[in-house]
Amino acid sequence: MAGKLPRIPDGWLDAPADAAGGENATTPSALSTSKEDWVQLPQPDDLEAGEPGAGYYTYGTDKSGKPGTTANAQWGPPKTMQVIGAVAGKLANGDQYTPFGVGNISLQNGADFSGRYGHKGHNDGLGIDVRPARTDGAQAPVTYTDPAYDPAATQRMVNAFRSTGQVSNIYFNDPRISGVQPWRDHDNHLHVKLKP
Amino acid sequence: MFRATTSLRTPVAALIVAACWSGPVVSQDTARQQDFGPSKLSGFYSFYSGALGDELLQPNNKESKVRFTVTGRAAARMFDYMSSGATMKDFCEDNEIARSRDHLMCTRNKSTLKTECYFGFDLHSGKSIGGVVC
Repeated sequence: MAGKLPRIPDGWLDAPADAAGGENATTPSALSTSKEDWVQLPQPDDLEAGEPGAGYYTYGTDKSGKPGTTANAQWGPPKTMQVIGAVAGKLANGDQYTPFGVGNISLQNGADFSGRYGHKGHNDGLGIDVRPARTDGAQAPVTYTDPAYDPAATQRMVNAFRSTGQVSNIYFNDPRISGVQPWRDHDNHLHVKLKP
Repeated sequence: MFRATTSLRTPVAALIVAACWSGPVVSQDTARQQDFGPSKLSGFYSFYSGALGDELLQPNNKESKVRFTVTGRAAARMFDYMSSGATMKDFCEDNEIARSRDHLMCTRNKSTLKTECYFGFDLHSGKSIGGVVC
């Protein structure tokens, strides 16, 4: 299944190399975390026809509660989008190709997500929900106890996020996966928490 | 506080301290009296199918769930009534503390003290399923 790499706006990946996933990555001081500077995650459908690449797809719920319009809930600081772009780049290679689904991040300007939609940890633009990988590559939900769940590919995703040096914690309940912390209600998604 | 009380030397000062001690007790009783009667509550609710934390879809004949967020005084009092033994680290939000029992969760912001409580039900089974994820 060949996906497309959503286009990262010009300049985002020109930030210090460490910010985009170097082994010795540090928090990029040049990047502001002001919500005025927040940007929206590039959507796969925004790609121009024929643009090469492979990477993530999007899912989730926007602020109106309508399914399939997750872009409204995928706002955050540029650093967040850099991390996702870097992970997509790492996972797009050959046999290690691991398409992954990006869900809720934050509403624009960090609007209330918990009270209205029961989704905490998504007000600062630094929390990224990611679906576990599936063996069939389908862009669909899966829990770590489902037969379609792919632990090896999920481990690659976790490793790719960790390698950016920007991850504070990842919550996910599969005990076979290293680099994650179990937390209630995280059988069906990984909550990637970035450093401030 | 105990040392200060034992070091008091005048009845007047003792009375002042006694008043201070009884203050919170009276206030708590008053709050409990207010709680005992019916009150309106504030918050949000939504019906859905699918899963919190993944994709929320419209409820349908096969699957329908409801989630609630209670805010304001009701949430604050729920948080207070849940014993401190229910307090847990809130991994979702660094600036909040949570109290949780089974699928009921209440959170309080450490700075603003804004409190919210979350719960939900599967409307086909009636089972409690919680109302918040991160």
